[in-house]
Amino acid sequence: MSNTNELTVDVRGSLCPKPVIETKKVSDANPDAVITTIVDNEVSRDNVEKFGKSRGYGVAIRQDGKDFYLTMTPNDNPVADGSCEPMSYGNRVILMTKDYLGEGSEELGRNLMKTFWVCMLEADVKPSKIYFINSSVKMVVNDSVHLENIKKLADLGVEIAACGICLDYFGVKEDLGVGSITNMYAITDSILGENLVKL
Amino acid sequence: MVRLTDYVTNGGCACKIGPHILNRVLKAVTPVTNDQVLADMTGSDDAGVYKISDTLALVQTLDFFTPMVNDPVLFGKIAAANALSDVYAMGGTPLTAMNIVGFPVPLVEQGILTDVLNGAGSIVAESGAAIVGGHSIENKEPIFGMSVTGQVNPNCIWKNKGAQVGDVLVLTKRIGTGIMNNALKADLFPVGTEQAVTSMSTLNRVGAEVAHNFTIHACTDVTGFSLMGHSVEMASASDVTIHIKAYDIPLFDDVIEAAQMGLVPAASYGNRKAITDVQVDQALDPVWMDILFDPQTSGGLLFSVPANEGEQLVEALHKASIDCAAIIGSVESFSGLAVRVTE
Repeated sequence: MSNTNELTVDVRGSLCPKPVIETKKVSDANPDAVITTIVDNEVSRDNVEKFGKSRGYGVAIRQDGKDFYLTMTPNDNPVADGSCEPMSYGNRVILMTKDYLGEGSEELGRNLMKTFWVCMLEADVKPSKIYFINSSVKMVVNDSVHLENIKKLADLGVEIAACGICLDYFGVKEDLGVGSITNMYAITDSILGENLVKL
Repeated sequence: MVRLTDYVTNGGCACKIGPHILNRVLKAVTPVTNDQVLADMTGSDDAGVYKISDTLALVQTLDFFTPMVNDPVLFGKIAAANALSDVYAMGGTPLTAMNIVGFPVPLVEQGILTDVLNGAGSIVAESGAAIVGGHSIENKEPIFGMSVTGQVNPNCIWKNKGAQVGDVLVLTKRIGTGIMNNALKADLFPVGTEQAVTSMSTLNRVGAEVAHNFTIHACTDVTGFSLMGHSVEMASASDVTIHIKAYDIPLFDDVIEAAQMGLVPAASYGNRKAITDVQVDQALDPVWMDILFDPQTSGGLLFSVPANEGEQLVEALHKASIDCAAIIGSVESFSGLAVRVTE
């Protein structure tokens, strides 16, 4: 990878809108450069991504600890950062209904669930969305053993959404560690209109 | 020249503690009330109302925040218009105001606080109320706001509760101050930011006065919890579903472009996380999420009025120079969620 025309904007420690402003300054002065902006919070990550896309950049996002590296490549070039290879999405939507896999032995089911997320990460074709209802929402909260793998799936572009009423019921809404909060309306739409697998 | 916004991390209503955190705190606090209280925070209403007699009640509210603009006079005006707004949103008339000040001493010495207080004073004067006192402390980040007392006839209080199926919703100011405040910090979009600054420093007095000639079933002002948050509060209090038509919402110029380039305040993402009782049509561009959940500083009034009065109310508001007033949606029977948004 050549070092010419590659610029870094390190705005860790800054809050919105500064990361966007600083990235914009560099982009305005160097319209043909590949720019990597480093931020340390999700709001800045989302905002810089929006900025990159609005300017017609290809945007690749890599997470390292709590830092996010957003590499923005002017669109006539291929994406320079190999860390975010194009991946394929199936049209499947998965509905998780509990925090263990299968029936028969719950203990076995909990172990199977760990393996399930590892295999899902390695699968060539990822689901487009994963919904979590009832006790399965415990898998997307901060102290969950599955959280890290589910976060990786989210970073790869799989949409993760947990049922708000369910999070409330288990008293864990404040601890949501990945994805967004959704409602039964969206989940019902998905059950009726999409290629859904219930687990 | 002092840049006030350089002293703060989040300006205006974008500096609020998130509703999801606040609700948890308030749940653990024992309410203190009595029979004279007609409205308090339990109904998510905009101000407290206390009955003095059968024809007189006090409306009380306070609001303060960190600067969202650099001009101290303007900051004072916006803070005052924002604090007074809650009285108008309850259908009341402001009587008195007191200053709430937390300021770094160097800024006080440079005369910045004097400018803020004079700015606020000019807006209070316009409202017809009097400033009767205040309290100040030293603080690292500048904070300014006001506590306002007004009066209302207890039989004519505008509450969040009361929106009726078949009503239409009328909004009196444009949406997008959170995004435009970020654009202001970035020195971008001069037309839209100028509009936003003018809008934030304009009282809701005229809008309220015009509306008093119509049948108001429910009213709120649209502030930090965004158009979605305040619509959900109105819908929940009224046991109805509110249907907002995104393309009918009046917006500041360039808001869509500014949001698309990432000038979205953190509180917008916080609102989105906390307010889940909303269904947004997937046909809408994702940028609408940034707009619908944008925290408003000194935003407009949102009225629920009978359908046959909606057009007339909008016309009357236009005549009173509130040019952006528009019908932005309607009230439907409860369909399982508080708010739905379509094109």
